[in-house]
Amino acid sequence: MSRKDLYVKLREATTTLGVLRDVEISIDRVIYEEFEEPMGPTPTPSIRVLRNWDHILLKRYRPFYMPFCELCCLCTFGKCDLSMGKRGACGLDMASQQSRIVLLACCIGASTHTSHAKHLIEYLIERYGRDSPIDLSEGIGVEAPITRLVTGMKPRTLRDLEDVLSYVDNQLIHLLASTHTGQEGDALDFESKVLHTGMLDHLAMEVADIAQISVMGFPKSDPDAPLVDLGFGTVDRSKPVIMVVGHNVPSAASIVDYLIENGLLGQVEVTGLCCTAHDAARYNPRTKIIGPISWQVRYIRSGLPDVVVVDEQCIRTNLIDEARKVGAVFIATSEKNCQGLRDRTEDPADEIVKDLIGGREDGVLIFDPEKVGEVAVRVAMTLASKRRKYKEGAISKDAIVEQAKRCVKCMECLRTCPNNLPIMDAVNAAAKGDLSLLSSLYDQCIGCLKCEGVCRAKLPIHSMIVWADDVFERETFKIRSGRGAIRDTEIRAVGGPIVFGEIPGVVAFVGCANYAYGGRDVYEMAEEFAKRRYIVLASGCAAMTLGMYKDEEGKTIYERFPGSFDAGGVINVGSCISNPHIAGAAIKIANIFARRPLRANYEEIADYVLNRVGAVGVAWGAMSQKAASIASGFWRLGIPVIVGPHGSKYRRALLGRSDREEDWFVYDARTGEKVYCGPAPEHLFYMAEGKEEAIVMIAKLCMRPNDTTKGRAIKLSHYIDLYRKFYDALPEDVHLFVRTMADIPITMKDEILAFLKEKGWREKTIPDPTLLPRLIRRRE
Amino acid sequence: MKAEVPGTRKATVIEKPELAVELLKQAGRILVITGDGVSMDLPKRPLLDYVVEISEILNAHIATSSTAYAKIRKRLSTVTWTPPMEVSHRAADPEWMGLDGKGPYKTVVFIGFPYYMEWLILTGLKNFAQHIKTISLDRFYQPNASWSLRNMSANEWEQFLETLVDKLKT
Repeated sequence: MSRKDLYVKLREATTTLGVLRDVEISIDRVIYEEFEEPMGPTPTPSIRVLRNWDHILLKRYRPFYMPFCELCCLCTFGKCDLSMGKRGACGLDMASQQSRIVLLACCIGASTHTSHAKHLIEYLIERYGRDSPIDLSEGIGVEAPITRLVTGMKPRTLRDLEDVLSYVDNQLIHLLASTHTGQEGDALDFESKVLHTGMLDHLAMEVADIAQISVMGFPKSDPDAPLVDLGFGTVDRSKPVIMVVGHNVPSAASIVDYLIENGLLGQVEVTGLCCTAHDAARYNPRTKIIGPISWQVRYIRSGLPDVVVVDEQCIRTNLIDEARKVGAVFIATSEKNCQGLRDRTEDPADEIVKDLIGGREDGVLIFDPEKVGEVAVRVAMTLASKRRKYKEGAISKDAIVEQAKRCVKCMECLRTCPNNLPIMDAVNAAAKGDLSLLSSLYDQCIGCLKCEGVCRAKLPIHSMIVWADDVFERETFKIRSGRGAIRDTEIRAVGGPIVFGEIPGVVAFVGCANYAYGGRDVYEMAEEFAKRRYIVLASGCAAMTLGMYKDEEGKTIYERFPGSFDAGGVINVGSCISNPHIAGAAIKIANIFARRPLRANYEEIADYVLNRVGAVGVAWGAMSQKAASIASGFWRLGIPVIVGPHGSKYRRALLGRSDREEDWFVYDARTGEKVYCGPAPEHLFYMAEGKEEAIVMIAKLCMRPNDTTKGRAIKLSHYIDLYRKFYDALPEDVHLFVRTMADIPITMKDEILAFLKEKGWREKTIPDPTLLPRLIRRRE
Repeated sequence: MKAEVPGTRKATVIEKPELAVELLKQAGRILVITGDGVSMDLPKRPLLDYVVEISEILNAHIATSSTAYAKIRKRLSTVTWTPPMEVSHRAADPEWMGLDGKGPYKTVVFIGFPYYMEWLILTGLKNFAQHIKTISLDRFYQPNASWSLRNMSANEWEQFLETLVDKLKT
């Protein structure tokens, strides 16, 4: 796609119609079509266009609603009690209301990524020019698989990406409008809109990430992207420290730029949390990543950061109060997060620096990234020496014991803790001098501070947990910098083994850090599948968590496993907005390996992925609305997602019923015959209670109807082996996944044959599976 | 009673074990769904002991995806490895014939779950499975159950379960 603005001004022109004077003609864009692939059936689809595909999915994977709130209070008809089969004054029932709230959450998530993408593209266009090319690497021919698939566009420059975002804007308005009182009334149609929202979300994220990769010097699909420092213990305490938090990288990048331009790189520690940290480390590998979202408060309370710079998304909203307590300066940089601060964007940097150092202001709002860079560095360099007293940690061990003696044993901390941690018992043990129980809570504490909010004795419980031991101080790890997209050459190499099942699956660990039992679960899950030679992908906070554990040789997962998209690889694709590279890899398998047409051909590609590509997403600590919309984008593409127990708060699952045989028929594309394919994949959105259940479910959800017998045998052997490891038995549903004798793992043949006999099993046909009648090649 | 109450109706509190005994004896076909918490040790005995004994006395099937599954299976044949989400989703279907194929359940008992996860599954059943009653035997009040214990200490909880088992036996 190539477009040009056209502007013609004529002082005088003689035409057959007469003489024209002072004529100005302005044409916004002229489009040159350069996409050799013919346009597919669904370019820039509106809400209704893919509704049929959604309903095919939703018929099989039915919503199980768990209302978080049984009332609706969105209009003045209410509050309306929708419980136990009642309808609201507008006519809506409970199922529709729940799906409506899910849609609202996904609209928030997708709008957030779209807004992020728009701000980022505006900034990049201003800095690098509208005609800057999209350039991901030499190994990338399909540069924007989701953009091509959904819109039919082939973006070549930053300008083209603006057009993609215009489509997303337009659709999001319609989706949000459908949640208004008196619009959509059917739960499944709300769910279809949820899937549409998720698809748009992936589009916006893809646009944002390919733009920043193209022009900001990030690693370009590099399996050997640099290993960067991760953890509090990697920060040099003798230097001034800047902390960046959020998701939109320009301000953090400008801090690095200022340091380089002024010969100061290495004299100031640039440290980050959440996705801004990922992207800042992709921009410059000397940036240090402290950790995921739950590390925000503990890091500020350590007193180490001199300046806290926040941009947007997933920032604790009263972080400014925490910064004030330790005398750190706070700089907000996004219109979406102004924090009540005075806008100093137009003021000279000298004046802002003077006011901040002089204490006349403890926080400012600056929308100009370059100015943020200068102010943050200059303030940090001056302030660091004045803040020495704050840099020794929030609380000493003696002080913890003394504070603990003030506990009034009301149990409110236990009741309010999202993870039901035994805080009161730990505090009481601490009062007797035993800090071990408090420190044992460290890995499970998500840093929400709800315990401190309800504590009648006003104890600094979070600080007491963090500084009961030196775990936080000792955190020194390595994480591979986000590499971005998967190369076409890698897809060609592994497409076949994935589709035929010989690489047993692709497992992506994504999302936030709201873990029910600590981050170790995620690490152990990833390690289990990497060792079994699945392809393991990671992004966002989950990618950081994977790096925060070491083996007995002191190596992190990123140091032990290669960063290539191959069996046994562990790949950090990058920040939240890098998630579309995971979906993109599945799409590319359909397009590059299987040669399915990509351009505006959503249904066919999703049908291919659902039936052939054994990919599963795991958002073990998913917390945000963005995580909800990201997951929805995976579902529409036929990729199941598993969340941890906190994920049940998303208030609905999309579950298959393996006991209902009629739900698991596909067309055999060769004959048109309807064939039972077994419950593969069994669920689309599933909440697991614990790590073991999740591991078994991951292995099961990697099975696909198209698996060859060899591939199915490999997948079954992993499923059975993992089930045995945790539950010491043969899975009770094995017979549903064995289609022919050749599917049976050879080492388990006798036992499985006996089990199959008991179940009355009969051999089945392995179809060329599709859920779309139009893809049947010959009807019988 | 402190709890996060989602709407206008909340669980009736089971103050005494005697009431629990009566409810369970009149409950019809019972399914016990237990979570990973079943592996916890109470001050006197493991929680698993109480869950197995209650299920055995009531002739109730146990559904679990807990790592205690193997231990339960050694003591009780009527246990099926089934994740809580899956089995609750099926229980919401009035035509589902149960894990043993013998017919729909009248009552589902929950024990051993993270508070919030049980809270949500119960609200799903409360609103979309009105053909079944739910009983929470967990330590904290669950407002979305039909009946629930009140908030109590670990000692009080064990005392309750101990008495419940004793009275069910008699």
